[in-house]
Amino acid sequence: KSGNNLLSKNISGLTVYKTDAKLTFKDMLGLWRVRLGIKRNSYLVKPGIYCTGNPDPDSMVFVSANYKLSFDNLRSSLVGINAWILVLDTKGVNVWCAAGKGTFSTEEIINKLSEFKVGQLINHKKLIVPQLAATGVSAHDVLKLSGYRVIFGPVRAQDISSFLKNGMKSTKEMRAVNFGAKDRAVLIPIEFIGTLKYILAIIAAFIIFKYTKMNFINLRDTVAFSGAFVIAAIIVPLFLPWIPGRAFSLKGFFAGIIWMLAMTAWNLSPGSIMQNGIKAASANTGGTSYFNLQKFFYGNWLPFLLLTLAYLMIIPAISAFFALNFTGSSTYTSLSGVKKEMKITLPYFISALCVGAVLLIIRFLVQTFIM
Amino acid sequence: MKLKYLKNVASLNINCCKCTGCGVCVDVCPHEVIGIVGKKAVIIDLDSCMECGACLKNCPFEAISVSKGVGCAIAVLNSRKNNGECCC
Repeated sequence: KSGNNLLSKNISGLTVYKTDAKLTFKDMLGLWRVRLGIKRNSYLVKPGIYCTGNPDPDSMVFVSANYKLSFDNLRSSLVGINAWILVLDTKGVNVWCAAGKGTFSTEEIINKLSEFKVGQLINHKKLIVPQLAATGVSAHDVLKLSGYRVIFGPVRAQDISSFLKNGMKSTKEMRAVNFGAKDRAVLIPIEFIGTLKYILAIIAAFIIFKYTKMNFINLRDTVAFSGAFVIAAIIVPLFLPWIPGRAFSLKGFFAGIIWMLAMTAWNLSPGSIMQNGIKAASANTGGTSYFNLQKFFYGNWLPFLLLTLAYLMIIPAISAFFALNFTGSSTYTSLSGVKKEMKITLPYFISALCVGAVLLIIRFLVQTFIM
Repeated sequence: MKLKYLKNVASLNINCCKCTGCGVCVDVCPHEVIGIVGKKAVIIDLDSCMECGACLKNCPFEAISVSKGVGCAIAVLNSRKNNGECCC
């Protein structure tokens, strides 16, 4: 369901849908909904010819993907402009991804030009195509195969009016894709939601252990391990430029180490296992006999050491691996680079988690049978 | 602040013999990787190349080569598993 009313008019026997530059409250709700990852695969508009204002045969034709966010972004930048919009069938996917996947392509443009008989509406043969479609659209091939000249418009629709005033030429700034704080921030909700299933699994495990009275992981451990995902999904994207390392997994690793140290410090504070162990040991005998020292040693330091090592294995590995995941939403990572990162990070993640799990098991056994 | 990814991994290459200096690659590149120097296209910032393939697609003279792909971790994992594509 597209969500925009399809008012249409008949021009030269063709159906042209009317749209405008105004974004309604419903449009904004839709924007936030897809930014949360909710039903973003079905947020689309019907392919076809649309118009803003009252275009005539000399008016410009802007080519768009049929992801509604892309379409809304384009039309809201056409305030006061009379234009045609040719909406392709990109399967509800945005410009850049669709171009990469081959749905915003040379072929798609040529097919839709003839399917919608665009030539009957205009006197010229120019198409303004978003620059990020260049991955899938070959301007010289479109010219050769259809006679239409592709002019690549600015990366951001917001720059369209400046672009038009500049004689349909992009400046250096209009051609550059940035990844600033706001760009990164809007991606965080969906990144975080992607980690929720793991966080909920950890919480569920903790609850089960609590009810079966098995002290395998306690509340602080649950916070520590869940926090590793939050580090990867929220902290790393937010502070990306300032965390050391160019590799995303390395950034996740450093951020994870900081979190791990914080959680270890928390475990040293009153109420933690070690403190409780000390209180328990001294309450039992009040003395310093060999037996008590042994109990003191095995009761306090060993579980704490095992837990700290387990944290060291598990937390940075989770943060590193899931920070690497953010490359999928980022605008400057290359496939070659991600492959290189994955080659190192995947084995590290798997082995570190295994060692960490073993350490947790040993700690559990020490606490249960020796303490 | 221009964010840069890993050093020296991008597979971008320009054949200066085939290049005519038309500049279309410069127009379509999202990260100012290519510049026209002495009437030829030259890589001026390799580490900013994300291998999107826009330059490759739009060079009328086939002067550019790059291993085009999506820099997405899940896509890399999926392609290892089942020769499949990315999740979206």
